[in-house]
Amino acid sequence: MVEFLTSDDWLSLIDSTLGTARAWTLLARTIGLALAITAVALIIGIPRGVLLGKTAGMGLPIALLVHAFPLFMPPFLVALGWFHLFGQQGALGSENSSQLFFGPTGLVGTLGFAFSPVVTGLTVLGLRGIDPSLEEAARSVAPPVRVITRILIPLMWPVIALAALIVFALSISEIGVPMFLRVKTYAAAVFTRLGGIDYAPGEAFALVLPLLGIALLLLLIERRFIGRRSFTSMGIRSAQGSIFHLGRWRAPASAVVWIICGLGFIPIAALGLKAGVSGFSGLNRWLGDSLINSLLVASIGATGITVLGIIIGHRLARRKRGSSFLDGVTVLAFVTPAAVLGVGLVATWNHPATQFVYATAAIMVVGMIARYSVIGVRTIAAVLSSSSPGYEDVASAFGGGYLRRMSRIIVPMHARGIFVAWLIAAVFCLRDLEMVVVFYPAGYETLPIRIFTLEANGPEDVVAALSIIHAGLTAVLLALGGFLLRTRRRA
Amino acid sequence: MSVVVALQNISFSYGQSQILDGISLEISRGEVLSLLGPSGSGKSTLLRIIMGFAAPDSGLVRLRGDVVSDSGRVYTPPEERNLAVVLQDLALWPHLTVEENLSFGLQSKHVARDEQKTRIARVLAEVDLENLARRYPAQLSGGEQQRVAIARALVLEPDAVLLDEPMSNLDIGLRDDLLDLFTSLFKQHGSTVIHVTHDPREAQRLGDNVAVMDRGHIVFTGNLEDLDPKHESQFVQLVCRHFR
Repeated sequence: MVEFLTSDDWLSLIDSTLGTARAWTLLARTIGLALAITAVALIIGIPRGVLLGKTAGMGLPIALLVHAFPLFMPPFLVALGWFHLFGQQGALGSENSSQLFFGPTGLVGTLGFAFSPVVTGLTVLGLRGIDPSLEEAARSVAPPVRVITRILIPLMWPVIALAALIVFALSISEIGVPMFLRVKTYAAAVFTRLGGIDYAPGEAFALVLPLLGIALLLLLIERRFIGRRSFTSMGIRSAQGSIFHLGRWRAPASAVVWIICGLGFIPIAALGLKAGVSGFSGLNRWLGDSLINSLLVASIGATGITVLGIIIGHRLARRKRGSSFLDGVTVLAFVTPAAVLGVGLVATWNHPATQFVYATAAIMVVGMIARYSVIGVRTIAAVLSSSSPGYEDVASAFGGGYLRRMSRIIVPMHARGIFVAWLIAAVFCLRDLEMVVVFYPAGYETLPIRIFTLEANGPEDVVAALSIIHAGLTAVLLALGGFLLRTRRRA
Repeated sequence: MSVVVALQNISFSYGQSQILDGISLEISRGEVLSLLGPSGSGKSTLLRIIMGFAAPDSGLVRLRGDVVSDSGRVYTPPEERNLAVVLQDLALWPHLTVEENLSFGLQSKHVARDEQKTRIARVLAEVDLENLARRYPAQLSGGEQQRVAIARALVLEPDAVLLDEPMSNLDIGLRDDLLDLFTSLFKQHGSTVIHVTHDPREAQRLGDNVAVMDRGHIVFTGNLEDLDPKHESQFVQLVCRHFR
């Protein structure tokens, strides 16, 4: 950005791009779409979170795990799955469904549903973080619905606000789905100027300026209204609030939740059907090193995020000086539209002296750490803030220095929570498309990029098979993580 | 006098631990019963069962003669039992003002708006908080918060008020003042009260009767002055030593 602003022609570039009504109209339209996506995610996510977190429905603990899975897929793949159902040639498709799908309605529906697990998950965590006595005092005088709407939801508003902020930030960053559904958005406009027939990197730099303004606004909202309230609201309590018994509504309510949770798997099933045997048999030719690249970048990136998370998250949980600023930086990086972050990384690292980073997979690792470090910081801060600082104080009194306290006390004591942070970070690195697509070096394509680039001209069955491989990879990673967590808990 | 709360042979276990074992009690209208027991004696669990937050493993809970819970089942949910509770940490809803904390239960019971205002004003005057109605709980002192909690319970005009050690976190001076206030308020309202505590003096001072609980059993009911110092319960022996 600094490089752009110090160049000679930046004023004329700003004038030619941002001086037109077209750019601002597109920005307003993109913000409108992101708000609509956020609203849909909240409408689906909050009631589902309340049902999953507060009721004794049938199999709801499993539904809680199932519902989150689509979030761990690049939304572009989910859209691809829906396309094989509702596209003109799709199993349930018609001209009308196709028209609806390839437009703002399809975009809002696809992304709203894909991001709704963010809201659901945080709602469940928020409900668990509420002091059970506040709930019981309300339950003694009011029916469940009133307790939920007047007491529980207002008490966890910082968590819901955080969920809305995350969904809005993810929506405004999204490139893959709008481009696939042929809906013009601002982030996609920036991306197209970094490659292809619209190649104009100078214009891309100019276009990211308003997005940077949005990122700062989001940061301001987060700092002012949410901040540390969100992760203290998500603190882990030893005593949990009561569960609402649904009585005669138990079976229908459970069925509705299961249907909504199961809907997330429909596009994945559609991709599986599309892939068929032919898709999988042709995989060797198309897969290349993308699978290895994805795993490598995700695991190294997640490890870097976790290390940063331990350092900053610990300071944040213990309210050390400067921690709020560092936390703010990680939040800013996350809420900054991915295209802006991508453009910034290009400007920073695309120099002859730094080609060892820019021209290798290292640039993707750097990008992942920059964008997703907030996951490590906030998750680990939430975990550490639920434990007494006394353990560290005693260790310190017994002569343990910082490194020794961290390595012998903090990390082993909270190993499960730290591993969860690593796992979430790894899954987010694995699914990233919208940022790395801006700068991935030749020969280092990750799996989502491979699928995205093949989608336009590659065989449909192979693209579907690659998408299933991605879903499988994520599922295996989560299952392995879950297994390790269970083993450690038993130990 | 009519019986408001009747417990019949209530048992409750958690995992391998037997928390309550065959508890039977009756509390009449206008009676203040103190449930005295050491930590882990099961008194708070008994309160949760009366409230309907938990079901007994066996036994019956009757409110005004109606069975509201029995073995493993809660027939009447907490909000339909017409009971009010004051918990140890008071549980004042932090996002609602004093007035809103009081009106929450009244609105749930569909009390007319004018009636709500009248009742809230009257109860706040009784606890000397009429000038703090618009404050949030965090803006009140510890003693004021206690008075809001009891006002929130009394404004509902419930069949019984359940107190779960609401004064355990207070210093002695403030506790004495509040005990005086609670005693006069309960007399004034003719309240039926079940008061859980581990403090014998508090139990004796507030309660018309005291039921002593130890290890899931009721080992004594009556006036603490009548306790037998040679009772087999170690807790009863301890209470005798302290009380006399």
